[in-house]
Amino acid sequence: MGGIRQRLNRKRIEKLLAESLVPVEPSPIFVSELRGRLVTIKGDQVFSPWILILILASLVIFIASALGFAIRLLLGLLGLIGIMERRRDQSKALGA
Amino acid sequence: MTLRESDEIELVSRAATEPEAFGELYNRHVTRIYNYIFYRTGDYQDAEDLTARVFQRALRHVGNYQNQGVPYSAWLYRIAHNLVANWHRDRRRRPVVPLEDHVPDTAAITHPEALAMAEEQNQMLLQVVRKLPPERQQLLILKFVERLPNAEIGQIMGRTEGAIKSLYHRTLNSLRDQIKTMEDEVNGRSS
Repeated sequence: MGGIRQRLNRKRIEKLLAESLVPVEPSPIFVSELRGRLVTIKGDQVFSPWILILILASLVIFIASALGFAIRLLLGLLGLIGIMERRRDQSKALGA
Repeated sequence: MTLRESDEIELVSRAATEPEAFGELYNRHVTRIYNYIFYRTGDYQDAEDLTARVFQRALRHVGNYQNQGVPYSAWLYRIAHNLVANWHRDRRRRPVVPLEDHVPDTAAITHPEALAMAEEQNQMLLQVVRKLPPERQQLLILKFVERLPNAEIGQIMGRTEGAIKSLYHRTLNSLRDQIKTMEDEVNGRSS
């Protein structure tokens, strides 16, 4: 610390800072690997327009299937009621 | 607005959809962000880890970036600043790792004793710098490592050029006081 023990004026502190705070280089392997990861993530990212289109299309197909199933169920139920009503009418007619 | 700034704004707007545009932004800023984080943490591994997190976060939110007259680097420094603050918060419960691996440019000094003294002096100064409040550390890193002018530092830190000059003056005074205190402690121990 002999150097710092000298009179600490503004210029001296600035000189010491310039000597200590020097630019460092990140490892080239780290830089290239991180770039590769970022660019790959970017290509597969969730917010890609194609992913959004795919999600929307899946949603439409799901809603159409669900509606189709509900209509079939309703028609089946109405058919069952119809059969039961017809049987009741037939038994009434036979009783009379 | 300079050509480089308008080019950068155009790159940022493309980066939301084009991987190569983000890659170009990354190439331009990775070393600066790494340097900033390295001097704030004092550890190569943590600097790499946090730099990766800065760019991953930047990538996720690049679509939300709005140009408000400040450079894109200011946005990145803001992310880095927040991540480093979280890092320091997490590390408070654990022992501090010194800057033992840091070897500054001392090539001009050849005498072993002089080299050792210069190294010790650098270590001590970095130790003192890392005890300063975060914004003062940021100012010193931008000024000495990045060699940015006060106006640009002001843009990054969201202050006026005058405020940066004033903060710099106060930082130097504070550094001088802390170095003296540290020297007194060392002298007291050795006598």
